[in-house]
Amino acid sequence: MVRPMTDPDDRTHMPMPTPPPDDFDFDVETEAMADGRRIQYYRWPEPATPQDETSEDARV
Amino acid sequence: MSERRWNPVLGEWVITATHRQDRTFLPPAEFCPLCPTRPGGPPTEIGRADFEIAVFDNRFPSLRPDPEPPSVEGTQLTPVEPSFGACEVVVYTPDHSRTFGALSVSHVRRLIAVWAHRTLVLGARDEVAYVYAFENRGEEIGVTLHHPHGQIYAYPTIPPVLEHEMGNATEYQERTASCLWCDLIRQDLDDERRVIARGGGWLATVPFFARWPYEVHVVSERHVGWLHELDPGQVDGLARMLLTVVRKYDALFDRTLPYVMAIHQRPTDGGTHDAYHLHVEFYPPNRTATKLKYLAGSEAGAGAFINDTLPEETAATLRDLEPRDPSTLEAVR
Repeated sequence: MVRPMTDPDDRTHMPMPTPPPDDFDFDVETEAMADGRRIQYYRWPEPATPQDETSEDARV
Repeated sequence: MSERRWNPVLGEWVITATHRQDRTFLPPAEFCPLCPTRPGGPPTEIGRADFEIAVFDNRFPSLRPDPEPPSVEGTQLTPVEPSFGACEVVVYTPDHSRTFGALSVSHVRRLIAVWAHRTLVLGARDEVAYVYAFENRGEEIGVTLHHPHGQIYAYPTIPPVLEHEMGNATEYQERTASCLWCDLIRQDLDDERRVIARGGGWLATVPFFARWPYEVHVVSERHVGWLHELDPGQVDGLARMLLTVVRKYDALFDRTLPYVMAIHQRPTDGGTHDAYHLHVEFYPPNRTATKLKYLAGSEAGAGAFINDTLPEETAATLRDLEPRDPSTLEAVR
């Protein structure tokens, strides 16, 4: 192979569809950071269980 | 300054990112930039504390949506291009002292949802062909911040390892009309010696061809390509399996084991890539409690990995371990 696998001027890129917001059960709040970058805060209607209880043990 | 330079010898892009030399390096906990800003304390990357998971643009990105022009001109033989893409930081929790293994099942389910969401959001960008979520854990891996976090890189082309895997999977599917990973699952279930855990629609094994002594692959038993295709039961099963693997790792040498966790999904370049099969790979660098596996002459110079252990034996060790409660381990900084 002697050429780039993707020529930036010749992309045949067909991107993923943007997800409809109701596909997920969280709220996302996007804010600008001091230097212009962006931050997304993900929150759910109910907080996650902080510790695993016996009925929700991680073992499989 | 970052750019992508084409290596015509190996047929792959190399990213230069000179500004990353200046990134924050192992600050003490009170100056952690990933903790929420404390009243009266120094400003951090996280302006508020009322979140469960936060995702922000990396301050020192290797890839970005608006890259600078390259520092040099390319040639036909060695093209150079701006480093299009994105680098994001995923802060797992506001709690600095937790590790991935100390998260609850419900919290990891939510983390999986965030990975899926970011894959869709970043994959929808014109310049993004592949979205790669991963976690580097431990100073041995090169971690520079101890706060529990992972990263997401959105590449403008499919990275070499993924492209290699996809090429082999496609060739296998064309030759056998079967999925490579589905057949590996069947082989591992028939043999059983390399299985360390199974449940919730997921199988964890030390692969037959493991490069690292305690490498583990977590593979969906259903043929899916992306995290967003998982149903709630499979998300729950993946959360439990990831925690099971990490907690077994923490029990292995009675410490928070360093690792790379790599989430391998299909590309977001518009192709179907239906031969590819969602899985998560873990590469801990330890071969014993105190000795690391280095990428030395054979691995770095020839690309030929030498594993000092037998996968059947390391799998038996991990299978027999009780997952370790991370709260009983020495606190991380």
